[in-house]
Amino acid sequence: MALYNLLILFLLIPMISCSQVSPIHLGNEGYPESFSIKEELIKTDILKIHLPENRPKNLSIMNPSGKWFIIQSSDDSIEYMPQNKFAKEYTIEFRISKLEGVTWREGKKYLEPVFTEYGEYLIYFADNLETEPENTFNFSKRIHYK
Amino acid sequence: MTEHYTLKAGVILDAAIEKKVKIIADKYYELAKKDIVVTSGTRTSSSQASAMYGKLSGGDKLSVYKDQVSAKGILDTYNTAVSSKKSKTDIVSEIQDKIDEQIKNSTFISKHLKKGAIDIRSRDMTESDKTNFKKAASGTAITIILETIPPHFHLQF
Repeated sequence: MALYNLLILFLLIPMISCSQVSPIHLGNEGYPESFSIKEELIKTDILKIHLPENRPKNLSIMNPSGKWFIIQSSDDSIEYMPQNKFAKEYTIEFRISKLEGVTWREGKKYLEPVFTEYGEYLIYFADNLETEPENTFNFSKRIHYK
Repeated sequence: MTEHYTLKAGVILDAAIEKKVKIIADKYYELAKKDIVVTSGTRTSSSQASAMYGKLSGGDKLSVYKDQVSAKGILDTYNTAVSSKKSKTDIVSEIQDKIDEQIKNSTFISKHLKKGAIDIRSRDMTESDKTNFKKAASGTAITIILETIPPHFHLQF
């Protein structure tokens, strides 16, 4: 019976994946085919983001209050890591308790910790962080910090 | 004479739009004593197609697009081309054809495919700067929207 269930599972997996958007396999060894992040995190976790080879240039995060933090934006000389590394890493990791980003309050620029509130965060990768998502190459995912 | 606006790298405006940006920037400078930054301009269907290809090839389902009917049309075009094992160049070209077809029918998957759409940096503005910017832009821009995801002003001339 266990063997039968296993066989059904193997037959179902390809069927499920076919019903999704089919990412193109670019033949790049090591790169994940799609953008993915663990959706629930706690303070001691590491935010791990898997990125395909073709990915947006910049990263910002919106906290549950709607405040934005820029983590990586070469146009603004804000770099969590060197841009050439950011553009190539298969997996980018951030320590939740330590991550800081650039934000603006009443017209002034500050470097502040990102994860200070519990709730839903938007992880937003985009070529242009100052236009609508419809107008730029981007990947985004909402994650829950508890 | 000093200009009170700058264009973010890669932003190109046609002369008529740039003239309007200059009018707004001068008025805003009078009110706030600050300059503006144009963060995006009009987009071509070709660059829109490349951006959407990037999303789709990364496994994105285009759920972020407000116009889900048009997004589905582009998604179907992509999936059909992938099933036919077409090259990246051919897939991008087919997505572009689909976007052009939608534009002919007055459907714009991005507001920036319409002539006269620009974005202005808002993140470094105070609340009073934002009010002054709206005052400066009204009368020159047809629509002025303060977008929040991500933050910027969207103007349509």
